Amino acid sequence: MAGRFEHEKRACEVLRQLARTLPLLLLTQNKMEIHAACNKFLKGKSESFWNKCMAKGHARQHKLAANPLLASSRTSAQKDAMSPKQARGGNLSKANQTVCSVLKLAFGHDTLHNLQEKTPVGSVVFDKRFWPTTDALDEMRRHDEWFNIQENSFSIKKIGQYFRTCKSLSAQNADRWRGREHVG
Amino acid sequence: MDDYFQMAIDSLVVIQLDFVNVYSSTDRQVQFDMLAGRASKSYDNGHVHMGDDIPCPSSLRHYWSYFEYMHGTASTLHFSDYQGQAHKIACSKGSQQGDAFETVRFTVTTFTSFGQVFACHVACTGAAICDDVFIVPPLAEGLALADELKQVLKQDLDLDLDVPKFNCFFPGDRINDDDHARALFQNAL
Repeated sequence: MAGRFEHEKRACEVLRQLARTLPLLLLTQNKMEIHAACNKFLKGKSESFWNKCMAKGHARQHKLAANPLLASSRTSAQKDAMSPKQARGGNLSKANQTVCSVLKLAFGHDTLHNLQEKTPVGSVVFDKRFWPTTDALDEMRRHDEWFNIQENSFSIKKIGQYFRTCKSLSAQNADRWRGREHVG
Repeated sequence: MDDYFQMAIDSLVVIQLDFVNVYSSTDRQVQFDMLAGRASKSYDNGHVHMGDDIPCPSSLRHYWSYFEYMHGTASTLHFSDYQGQAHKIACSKGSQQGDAFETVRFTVTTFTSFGQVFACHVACTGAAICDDVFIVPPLAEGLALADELKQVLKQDLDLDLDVPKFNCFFPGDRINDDDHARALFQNAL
């Protein structure tokens, strides 16, 4: 579709927004609902899916507004359970933090600001003079039996299996923001 | 007195360095240069010129397309705050901490800078694991190395030394008893 609307800026922008938004909307559903939503979407029926996502979002907002995620104290029992587990896992600094810190990791008013601070802005206009060409990459992969590796380790089935079972790309951080994922 | 001062300078200390927010702050151009194996600008205080080869494991270059897709353009971080309000933050620098594959690339990117600076300070023994740097040097040499590392990593990778996390461990209680060592340390900071 992107090729078909190559010279139509508005259509391309709509497609770009759709590509960004659709996976997020789908991931709010469970596996069966995702299948059903995809089928309906392909038939041009997206209204019920959209309404369902909005309803879920509003429900979550109301729930959080009524009971915001704020700092609270850990109980001694929680500390006793968590810290040995973290220490046995090799994360001694986190175990130490669990024992010594007073507050549980939680969102705060300054979390968004902290996150923005930790996400500095850089340039994505690159000097590509020395970047390998597509032909060079293909040639390199042929020499190193890349196709075998690709077939054995990077098949669609294996990639799907990996993403279904992999852990989140990040864990809770000490500076009070929680796990998050990049969506390109 | 001179002998005492010389002894203070020569005796070994342990220096621990840390850099601020490294994964999200690394210049992406450098990371692509490293993967491509060629410098697009001058690095290492002018010792590496534009067009020079940069060492990179060839196995990592197989994943060029992956890194190009991931970092060739700005990505969007979707963040849901404590009240459920969604926010979008553009990510156009560095990579995502916690992704094991990114750790490999980050380590390979910094390896050259660490290696070249360490090579210039043969009196220092050290190890650099991702962004954690440990040096076992004579005090003056160690501080000189730390200073050069600070400059090179800022120039080459746009990384800042985390000064509050700069640790220098002295054997015994020498830093409190030794005015020369303390003065040297304070001057370096």
